Amino acid sequence: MSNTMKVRVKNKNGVVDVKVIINHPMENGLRLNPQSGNKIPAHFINQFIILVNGQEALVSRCTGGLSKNPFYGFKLSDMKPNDRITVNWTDNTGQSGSADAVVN
Amino acid sequence: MLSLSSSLRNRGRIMKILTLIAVTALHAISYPALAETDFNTHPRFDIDPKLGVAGDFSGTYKYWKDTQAIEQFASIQTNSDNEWKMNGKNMDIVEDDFHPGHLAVDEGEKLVNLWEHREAGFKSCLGAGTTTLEGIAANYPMYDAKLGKVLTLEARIEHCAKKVLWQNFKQGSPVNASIALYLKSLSDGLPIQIDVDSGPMKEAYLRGETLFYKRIGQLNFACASCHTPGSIMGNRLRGEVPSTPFGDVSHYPTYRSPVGEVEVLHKRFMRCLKQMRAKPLKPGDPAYVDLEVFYTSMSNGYPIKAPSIR
Amino acid sequence: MKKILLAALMATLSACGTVQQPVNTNSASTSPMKFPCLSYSLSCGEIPVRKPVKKPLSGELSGNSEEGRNIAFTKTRGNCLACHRMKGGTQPGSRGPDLTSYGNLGRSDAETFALVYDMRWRSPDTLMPPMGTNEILTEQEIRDVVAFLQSSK
Repeated sequence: MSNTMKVRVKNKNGVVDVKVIINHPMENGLRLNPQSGNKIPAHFINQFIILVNGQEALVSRCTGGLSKNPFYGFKLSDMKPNDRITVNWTDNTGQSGSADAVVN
Repeated sequence: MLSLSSSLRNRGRIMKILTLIAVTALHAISYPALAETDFNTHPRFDIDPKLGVAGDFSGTYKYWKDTQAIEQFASIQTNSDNEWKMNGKNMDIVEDDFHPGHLAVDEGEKLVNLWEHREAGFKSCLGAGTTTLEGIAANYPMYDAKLGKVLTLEARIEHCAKKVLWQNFKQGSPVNASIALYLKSLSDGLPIQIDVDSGPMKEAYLRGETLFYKRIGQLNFACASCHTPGSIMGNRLRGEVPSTPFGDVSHYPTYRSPVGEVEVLHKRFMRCLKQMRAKPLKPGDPAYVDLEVFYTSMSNGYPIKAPSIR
Repeated sequence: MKKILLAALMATLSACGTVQQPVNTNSASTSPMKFPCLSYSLSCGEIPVRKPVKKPLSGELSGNSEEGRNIAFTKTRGNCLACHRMKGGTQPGSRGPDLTSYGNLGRSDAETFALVYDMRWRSPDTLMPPMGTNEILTEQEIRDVVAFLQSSK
């Protein structure tokens, strides 16, 4: 699977349930390569920034505990239809990804 | 000198023969059961292919036969020793589930459309004559008369990639797995329907059944050693409890969390053989195809769930 | 000349007429190709399952029960815990008989050794892998496991 992500949004009376799934190896840097015996370099998402209509609504900073192809879910209140939710992530190597979803 | 050696040798031969007779006779007297047992196979169980998934021999089918049953009997899962009775089906009825399998379905859809755009004919090859790909996965494995062999879904993808696209989408590779999962997702909710009543499919079913009971590997296990009544099924095998093989194929290919990838059925066979210290074969192997026909018959009538997570 | 012929004769006599004994090798180096497999095309598809062997125990047991415990609990070696409850073992299996107080049963070393080596001479349909016949454990490792079993009280 190439580096992709998917966002699913469900609106229940103004409380929006957001689910995000991301393709990412999420190496915590402690695993050993079985052939060489060396540590596989750390490569994991360390920041999520959620924007609502361009405004920062939620910032999560994480370390290497999340597993491969992570799932990220959260709820936002006081949302209206057609609000735009943007999910941005960056990892420790500087790579990043982003996806949008519109509240129904 | 020569005559002495030859007479000694003759006496030696006679003694050898007498010893062999005595040893064999003693064995036959002490262990009569040995004479009847076929050590190459595990004892067989009567499976009626006409019953499909309802022929489940573990007695657990009533717990997971449909969404209603799974919800009704959900309480049996609180005990880790009884969890196996739900056969993992509780994970398939979660409304709004969201996992990397969904990403793989999108990936598969992208791949099919991309290659169809480059070489028109890919889709109609996958559909064996039709570009409507909804529902086709429910009839695999199937016998293809033109090619003269039983094809699994992954084999069809490999064949069409070679024939139409001149590409190598090897069975078990991420490309093949993503497309297979996408095609399966187009049949999500439909019951598996394969015909093993006659012809090459019936022969494949019988061969697969034979392989299911064949003792293999250093540990001398057959598939049946962990997946039939009276075997390890239902009992703990270290931290796990093996469950019934009935109904399993309906959720394959599946996203495997412990492995971090979409796993096709042949890859699962390969992994299990490795764990059982037996020789693992490659995805696409004819032995796996026969086993898949046998296993799919044990899920006949059960609705497909794709994408699934295990 | 007579000595050479006699030696050849003795060699022939000793080589034939005995029950086939498997070679004791390190279990880690036993290739899966030496055992039956599912393949229709590979040579291992034709290999028959090895016949049961009732292995006699020669001499003293001389088993190290501490080492036997390691062998029984390690997944890549004996892995006895996969099916049996054993003294001091965590997360055991439940298919095989409980062996936590095997030492109290009063079974002989020779019988225990022969059963661990190959259970099939007593129970032809057993699920238990033939630890000795299929070279899963060496003879010394089986002695160590027997020592651990006899000390489980």
